[in-house]
Amino acid sequence: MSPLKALQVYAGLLLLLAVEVLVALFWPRHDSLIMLAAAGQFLLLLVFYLGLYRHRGWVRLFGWLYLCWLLVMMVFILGESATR
Amino acid sequence: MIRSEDRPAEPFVAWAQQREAARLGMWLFLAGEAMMFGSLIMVAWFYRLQHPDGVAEAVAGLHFGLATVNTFLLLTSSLLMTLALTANEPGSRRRLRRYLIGATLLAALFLACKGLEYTLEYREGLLPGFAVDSPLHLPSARLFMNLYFIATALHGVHVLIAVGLGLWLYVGFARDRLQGHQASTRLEMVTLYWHLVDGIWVLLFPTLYLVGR
Repeated sequence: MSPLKALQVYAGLLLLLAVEVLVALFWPRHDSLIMLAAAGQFLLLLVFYLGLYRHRGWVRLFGWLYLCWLLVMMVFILGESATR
Repeated sequence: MIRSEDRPAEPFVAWAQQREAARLGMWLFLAGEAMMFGSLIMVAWFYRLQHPDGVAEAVAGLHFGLATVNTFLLLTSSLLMTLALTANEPGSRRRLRRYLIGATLLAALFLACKGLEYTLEYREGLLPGFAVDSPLHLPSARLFMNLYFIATALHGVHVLIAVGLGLWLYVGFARDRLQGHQASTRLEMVTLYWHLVDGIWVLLFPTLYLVGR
C-alpha cells in the first residue's frame, strides 16, 4: 500500500470515529449508526491495513471468516432485539 | 536447523514459501483472537439487551473522553505501522525506525491512558472486588463492569505485547540484526498483529463506552 493510500484510509478511520462520538453525544438513541460506523472502521482495517484486498488463498479465507463472524454477531444482536 | 541471513529456515526451500507459511500461521492465530474477542463483544451485547438499565448505569460512569483519545492513539499507531511497512527498503531504514518507534510510543501512551482510566475508576469505587460501597446500585451494572474490566484488561495485555514486539523490531533494525527477507517477514507479521489489536479495540470502544450513553 502506498503512503498516500494509507493516509486516505487513516482519514476515513478518523472520520468514522468522529461520527461515532458525535452520534453518541448528540443523538444518543441512534445506537445502530454508532455500530455501523464501527463496522465500517473494522472493514477499512481488514481490507486495507490487514491487506485483504491484495491477498489470495488462506489470507482471503480468514478474512471472510472474520467478516462472517461479524455478521453472526450482528444477526444475533438484531435477532435478539427483534424477538424480545 | 539452518539459521542464516541468506537462506530460509528448514524445512523451507524458498523465502516465498517460508513467508507464506508465516502468513498462514499468523492469520490462524489472528482468527483465534478474533473469535475470543468476538465472543466477549457478543456477551457485552447480550448484557445490554437483557439488562438495559444496569448497563446504562455502568456506561454512564465510564470515562469515554479518555477512551476516545485512546482510539485516536491506536488508529494513528496503525497508520505508522503501515507506513513502516512501506518504508522497508534498503535506503529508508531511518524512516522505518522512526515510524516503528512512533507506533510503539503511541501504543505505550494508550496503556498509560488506560492506567489513568483504571485509577480514576478505582477511586470512584467502580473496580470490581476492590470497593466496599460501590456507587453502582443494580447488580447487572456491576456485572457489566466486570465484563468491561475483563475485556479491556485482556486487550491491554495484547497492546503490551505489541509494544514489546515494536521495541524488539526497532532494536533489531537499529543494530542491523534484521536484514532482507527475514526483516520483511517479521515486520509484516508484527504489523498484522498490530492491526488486529487495533481492529478489536475499534469494536470494543463503541460496545463498551458509546452505545446507550
